[in-house]
Amino acid sequence: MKLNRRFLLRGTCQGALAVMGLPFLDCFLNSKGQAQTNGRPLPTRFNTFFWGCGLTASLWIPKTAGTDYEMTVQLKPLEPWRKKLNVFSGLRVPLDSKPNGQHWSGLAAAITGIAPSRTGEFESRTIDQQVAEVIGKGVRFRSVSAASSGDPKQSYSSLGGSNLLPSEPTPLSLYTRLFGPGFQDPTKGDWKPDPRILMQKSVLSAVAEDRRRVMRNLGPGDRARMDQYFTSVRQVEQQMEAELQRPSIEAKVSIPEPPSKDLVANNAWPNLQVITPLMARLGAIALATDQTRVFNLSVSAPQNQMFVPGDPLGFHQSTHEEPVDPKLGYQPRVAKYNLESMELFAAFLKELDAIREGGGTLLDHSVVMAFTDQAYARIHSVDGLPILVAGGASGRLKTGHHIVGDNSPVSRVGLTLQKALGVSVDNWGKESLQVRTPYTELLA
Amino acid sequence: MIKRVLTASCIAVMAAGYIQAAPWVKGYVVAFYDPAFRFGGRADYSRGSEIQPGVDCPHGSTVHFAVPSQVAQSLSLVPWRTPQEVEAIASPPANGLTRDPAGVYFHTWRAASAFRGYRRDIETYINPFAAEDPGEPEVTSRIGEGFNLDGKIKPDDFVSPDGEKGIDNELYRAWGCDSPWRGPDGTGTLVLRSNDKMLEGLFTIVVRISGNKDPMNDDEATLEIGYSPDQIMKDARGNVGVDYSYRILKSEQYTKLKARVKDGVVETEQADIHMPEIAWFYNQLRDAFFRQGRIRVTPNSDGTAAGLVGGYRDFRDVYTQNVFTQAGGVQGVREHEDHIALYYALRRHADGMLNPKTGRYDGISCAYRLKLVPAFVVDPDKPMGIPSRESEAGRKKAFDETAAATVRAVDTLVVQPVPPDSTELTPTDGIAIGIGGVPLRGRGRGYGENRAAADKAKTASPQPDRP
Repeated sequence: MKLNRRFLLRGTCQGALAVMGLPFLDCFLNSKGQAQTNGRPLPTRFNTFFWGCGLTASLWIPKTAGTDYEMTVQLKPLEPWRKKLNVFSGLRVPLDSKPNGQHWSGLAAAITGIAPSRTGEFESRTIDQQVAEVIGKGVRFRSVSAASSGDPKQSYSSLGGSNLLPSEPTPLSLYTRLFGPGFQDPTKGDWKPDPRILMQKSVLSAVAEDRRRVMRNLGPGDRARMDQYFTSVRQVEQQMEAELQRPSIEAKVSIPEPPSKDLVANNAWPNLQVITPLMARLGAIALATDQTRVFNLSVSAPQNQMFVPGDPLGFHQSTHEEPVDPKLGYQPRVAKYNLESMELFAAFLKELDAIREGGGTLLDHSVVMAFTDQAYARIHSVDGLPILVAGGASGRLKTGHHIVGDNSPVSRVGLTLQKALGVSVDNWGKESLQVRTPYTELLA
Repeated sequence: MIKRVLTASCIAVMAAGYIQAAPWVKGYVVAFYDPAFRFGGRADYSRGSEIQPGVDCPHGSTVHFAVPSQVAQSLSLVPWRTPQEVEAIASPPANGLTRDPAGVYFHTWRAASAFRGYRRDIETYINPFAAEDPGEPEVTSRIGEGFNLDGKIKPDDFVSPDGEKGIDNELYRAWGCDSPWRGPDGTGTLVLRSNDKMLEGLFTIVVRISGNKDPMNDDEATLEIGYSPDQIMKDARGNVGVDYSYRILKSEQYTKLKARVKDGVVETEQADIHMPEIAWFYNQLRDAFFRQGRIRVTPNSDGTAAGLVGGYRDFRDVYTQNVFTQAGGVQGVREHEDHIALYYALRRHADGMLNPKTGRYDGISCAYRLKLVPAFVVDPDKPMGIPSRESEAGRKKAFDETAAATVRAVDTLVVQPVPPDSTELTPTDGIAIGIGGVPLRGRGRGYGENRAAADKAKTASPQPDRP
């Protein structure tokens, strides 16, 4: 459903047409607080990027805070996007009385604001789903997740509990989901509503009156249950509504040919170097064509199994087995894998920034939250968890900063991003992770 | 004039005497806790990521399961493994882009390492006596931290860094070269890890010292040490905060000792000590029971203090604590330590707690270091026990049962089965993987899901024990 200043709430009251206007909402404004000239603001998108096993503190944390920090060794791949990037260091993950679930507690806290009680479970919806609830309505897919290492279970998107919204494990499956059956290219002139959607919608409309009549005859308890049920029905209706309208896009993109089915998606570094940019490009096109507004890309499991051919250990195993070089003060092979993880993140940003849209790029109209599971994987430490955020949220998020957390809970980042994305939230998280103060210096 | 000076002096002396006789209390929270394993290498030396050999360990830290040749050497001691099997396990096929070599090596070695007994179906982390000793390098340095626990100065005793002779710390001699516990300035992996978890809130230890005379010199002082239910508070920089309040619980992990303070240094009497054990998982939390223990607290100029606690610990407790929090093979392969070797090293160096029935020592002398940060240590409003975590009760039960099975095994030399829900592999898992075939990801309890295998193992008929 698209809202604008002329939108009226409609209904009937005792047989007569009733209409009600809306207050002047934020969504009627552009990034500078002004109405768009065409009356339709560009949508802001939310993305997540996950890599496992963190970074090496002495190699990624800039020495100074603010905007003039010196780019560190492990952030070097992100140098081209420095002005569109925020770096968060010194963030704390207070666990209260919860266990430190190896390779889980840190990531779960970062994206739910709640330290989990059990490994493998989230105690609320993940941040992408919380944001999708607000910005993801009215598009074909509420959210889309992809895993470039080829495992559909490598998803950090959940409606809570142990259920994960599965990732697309190959470029071809991602392509098929986004641009396969049911997809109509909004850039082409022959766009038509899907007749199957029309039929389904008419069925739902036909039962609408009955639904109301049933509701009137229920007690409060059953009515609450039916409300829950009809809320999901309503979501389906909204979904269909969206699919019956041509997506309004500004980006000039063309839908590529399907990727080869021979591409291998797994943990081998040479494959990740090919698959990750390809999935990032497909995700970027999906965002640009308004198929979805929330895209999650992961490159590994929390126990990052990335490996360079010939290395008998791989990333995760190296974090535990490789000794710290006493002279360097860190694990050299692990540091290399850290850097390669940042190269994959850079590949994602490159694809988002390559699509011109309005006066900027898709990245300018997005927020990308890059997060991981451990601060120091060798000992499964979570305090000091690295978080990187790219994109300006259509001008609502200031970028180019290194924010030194001063031991702030990691959830402060999530709260800030939700504020920037227009999510109505006063506080976020639970127990010691509950925060009320966003990084106001970043909010435009 | 002289009279006035004398009067003033008398008043000053009386006042000083009055102050000295006042009750006093000092409190500390433990900010770092590690075995007193003195590192003898050069901290600034690097040789391709290797930990420098030092006067403590001339051959450097242990390299068990680090490379295929080490694995082959260890498995060649297993009587029922053929040379072909040993070769296949030590060097599993893991080339190419579609295979994850880390997983292949890890799962194969982890599983194979758990079955090194005289019979194929014996899980040897629970039954270490049933395996051949692969050998553990021992500390050769003469300098070691700790206490003279037996009051004797024996030829093989350590000399403390301060020159005190007769130091008993056989745990250091037995385990001091073990890779995850060795490193300069407490940088061994498990040292860092356990302390990181302590600071995260897994457990808190507090110390309270009190007396009625002078805090610098008091021969009738008292030292209390025990578990606190309050998590360690950190300051904005992430360091342990100074002068926060903590409750001390008079639980099974609490001890009150008579102490003597001389020039600020606190020395306790020699008695049994109960206090929290080093842990990096909840299931490990338990009493570190020191027999004939002693504690020393030496103040630093900045208000912090250095503590040392020592005594004889049951070597079976020391062993099980290190092995079963995850699984013997998991930790062994990752940390380059071999628990079978560690078991035999403990037995070899046990030097206390003579068991009259067996004629063997059940205890090993040891010492642990404590870094103490000033705190207010108070009693709880109401008596309370150590809180438990419902969500981890199952894992803790499994840990305790596995540890108990091990104690039974090494006491009776009768092979014990793998308890239900233990992190250790069942014979079904171990042999199926370890025989040299390609291991499956996630197989093995305690590392991924293997419900089917676990169920199968439970229903399998037990093998007869060797007469």
